[in-house]
Amino acid sequence: MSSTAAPEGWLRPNSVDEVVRAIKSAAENSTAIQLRGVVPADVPVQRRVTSLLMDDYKAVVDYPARDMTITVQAGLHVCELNRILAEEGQQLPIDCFNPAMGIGAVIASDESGPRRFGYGTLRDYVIGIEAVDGQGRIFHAGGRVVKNVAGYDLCRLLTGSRGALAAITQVTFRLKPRPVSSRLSVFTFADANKLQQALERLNTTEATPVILDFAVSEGTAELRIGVEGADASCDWQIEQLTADCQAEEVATEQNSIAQYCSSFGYRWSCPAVSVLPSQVATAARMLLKRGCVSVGHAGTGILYPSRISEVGEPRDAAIEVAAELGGSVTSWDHDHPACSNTPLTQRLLNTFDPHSVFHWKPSGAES
Amino acid sequence: MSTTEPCVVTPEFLRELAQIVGTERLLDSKDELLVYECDGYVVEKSVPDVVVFVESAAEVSAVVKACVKYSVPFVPRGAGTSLAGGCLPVGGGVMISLTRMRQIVEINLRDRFAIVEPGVVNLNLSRALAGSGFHYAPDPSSQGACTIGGNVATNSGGPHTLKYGVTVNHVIGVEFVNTEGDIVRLGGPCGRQNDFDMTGLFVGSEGTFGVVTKVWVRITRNPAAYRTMLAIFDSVDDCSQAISNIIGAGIVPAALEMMDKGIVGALEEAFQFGFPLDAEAVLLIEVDGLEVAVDDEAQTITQLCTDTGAREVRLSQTDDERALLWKCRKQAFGAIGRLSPSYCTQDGVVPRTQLPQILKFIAEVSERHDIAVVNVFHAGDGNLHPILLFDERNAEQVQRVMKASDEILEKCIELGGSVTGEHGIGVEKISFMNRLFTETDLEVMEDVRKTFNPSGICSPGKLLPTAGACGMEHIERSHPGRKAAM
Repeated sequence: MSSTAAPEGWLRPNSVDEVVRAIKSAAENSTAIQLRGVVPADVPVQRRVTSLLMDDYKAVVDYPARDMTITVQAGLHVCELNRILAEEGQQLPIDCFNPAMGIGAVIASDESGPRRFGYGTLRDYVIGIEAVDGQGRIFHAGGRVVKNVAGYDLCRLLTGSRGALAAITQVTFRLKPRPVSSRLSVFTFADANKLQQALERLNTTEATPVILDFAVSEGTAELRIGVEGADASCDWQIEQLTADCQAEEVATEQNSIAQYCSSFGYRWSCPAVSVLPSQVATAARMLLKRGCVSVGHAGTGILYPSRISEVGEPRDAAIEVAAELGGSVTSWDHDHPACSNTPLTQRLLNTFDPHSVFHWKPSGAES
Repeated sequence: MSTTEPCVVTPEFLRELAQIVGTERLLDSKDELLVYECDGYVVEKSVPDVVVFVESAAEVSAVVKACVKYSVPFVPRGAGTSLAGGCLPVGGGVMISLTRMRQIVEINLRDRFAIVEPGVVNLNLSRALAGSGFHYAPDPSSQGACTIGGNVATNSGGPHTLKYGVTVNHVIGVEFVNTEGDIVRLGGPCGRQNDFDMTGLFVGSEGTFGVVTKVWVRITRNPAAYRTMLAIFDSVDDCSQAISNIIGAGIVPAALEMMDKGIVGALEEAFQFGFPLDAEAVLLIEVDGLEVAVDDEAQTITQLCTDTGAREVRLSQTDDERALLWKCRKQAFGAIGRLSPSYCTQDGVVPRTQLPQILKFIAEVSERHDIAVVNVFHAGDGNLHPILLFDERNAEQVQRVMKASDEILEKCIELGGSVTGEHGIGVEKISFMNRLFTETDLEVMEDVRKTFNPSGICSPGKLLPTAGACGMEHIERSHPGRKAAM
């Protein structure tokens, strides 16, 4: 079957063979393939680019719900996946800002959000993968069982690879049960110092929050903490967390975690500063001094600064703070794993994409 | 390395190694080397030409550079507890023993990570964390002996990985010596930084990418409460159905371990726990979490077990009783000596709903080949450990064991599973790789291996059927036809 009509420069494959043909053609003609929905490296494009839109390749291949795994084609939108899983009381506990994103792009981008503190990231859920590399080779890794160490773990290699190594065509996930209930509480503090003290106490709390987010701006600081479970369990945890935090104000909402997580889009608009969790309040104060408010994930040490004054750019402030604290900065439009200059990275790129079909070389670089 | 080129360990090379580690940390006499001819997989053996006991990353680097200079293959080894021949020195060469690199470099409770050297025994990290409110979650049954470097190599699991995940879920960074002798770091306390998830790729690479010299691991907050139960069944079918029902109900216990009548008898003889000797199977179930939640979860599981035919569900009443239960489970393999002079453990995995089918099949295989099989395994993950009992002095019996093992693993594949959940491929299961993966899959994996280990000098003959193997023909094979590579 041939591809459906698509705007010029787009390809909507509905089979793996069509993906293979597109990639081989790009390799032969020295053109490039961009996986739609995956933000590419911000490097000048020297080639004509075909955008690979996987929306027509979106079947559920296998959903043995009692095994708590699902195998889907890469174009299935994340919102549709969530709907299917909800019918069985299950979930893939990964927060995705764009519900219309295809699951292959979600993996390539290593989407995550507030619940990463409690649930981890996609590397903890992708147990099997099928992909097509830059030579047009269809390959698989992992399988459909939740525990499996046969062969190299290419699932993790491709998760977060931003489409630089291969086009993901099919994925198997391990799943989690959906919680019965949830609470999201906002704890307000006078400043970042008080927030820091609360975070120290929370490190040994008996509660088991799935979200431990923060926001720091001039004159105020907040913790947003989410818990899940049976109602009695949620209520007990909020009581415990209230005692631990010693905040000036507490406001709790029932079952609003999903809405909060799906609206958390800072990852796409702000640079991300990664530091140790113990450095979050310090980093937030340093960013404030540089004219940036910040929000982020206190439990995993990620801050998203945004500018409040005319002084400086958030990315510049982020880089300064990260350098001082020994952390790092990732911006979607600046940083890309394929731009890492380590010999191993470059060798992997040459292995998977020797013709630079996915990896757009910087201007002047040899293709 | 060429696959046919013989490995030559010259006096000059040995002198150079001795200059690096000293003669007291180098073994090259035939008698002493015999200890290192195999790991926990005793079926295939190969003696290294020399063993060096390194004490630092710098020494590892120097040893690897010497190996490169003299074209001698090398293989890293931790405690040698692996069960698939992962640290078998295929074709001889240098064995780099990491057991003397056993420092816990740092424990950071606030940021929930620790930095350890590869020779740190798994249990010693949890012991170092005792009383802190944190622990290291991966807990393989061999945790009293196995090293964290070895756990990284094989991506080890354990009973509690059902809820907490396997080693790779807890490793955030690795320092290793590559096949050129350079010290390379992947990840770290802040995780991956603008690069591919090389740490995730490295974990489980079975020593074929280089020699681990430092590991950054996550440490996990202790749960506030536990409930540990023993469900007793009069039929294996009912027990496996109960497992399927618990998982199918969306409950993820901290651990869900099954033991059949054969292993329970051996454990009772060894530990006098009070296991019911007439039961066909028992389930060891643990739930953990908030005190306010665990009772409800335990009650739901109890009801599911009872509904599926459990004649009794006992709740562990004290911490000591719980500790003894886990001691029994983790030392189950040690008790097998009471049943048979030799045994062979398999590591297949099936989708959890297929447990009733695979257990029936294992029973059929046992009967058909007249080989006794006992089962003790991670039921919640669908990760089987059928233990085939035999006497290795009986060559004909050994052949039947090998045939029975192969049939069990083939059935695991047929049911949608895998041949290894936590032991690794090593040399033992290489012949299954082309049944699990396509030719192209293996070609891509081989390309990945070459990005780390282009000459094949590090751990040759492992994991991939295409892996270069220097002198494979010299492996002493008790069982012709199970060639690992070539």
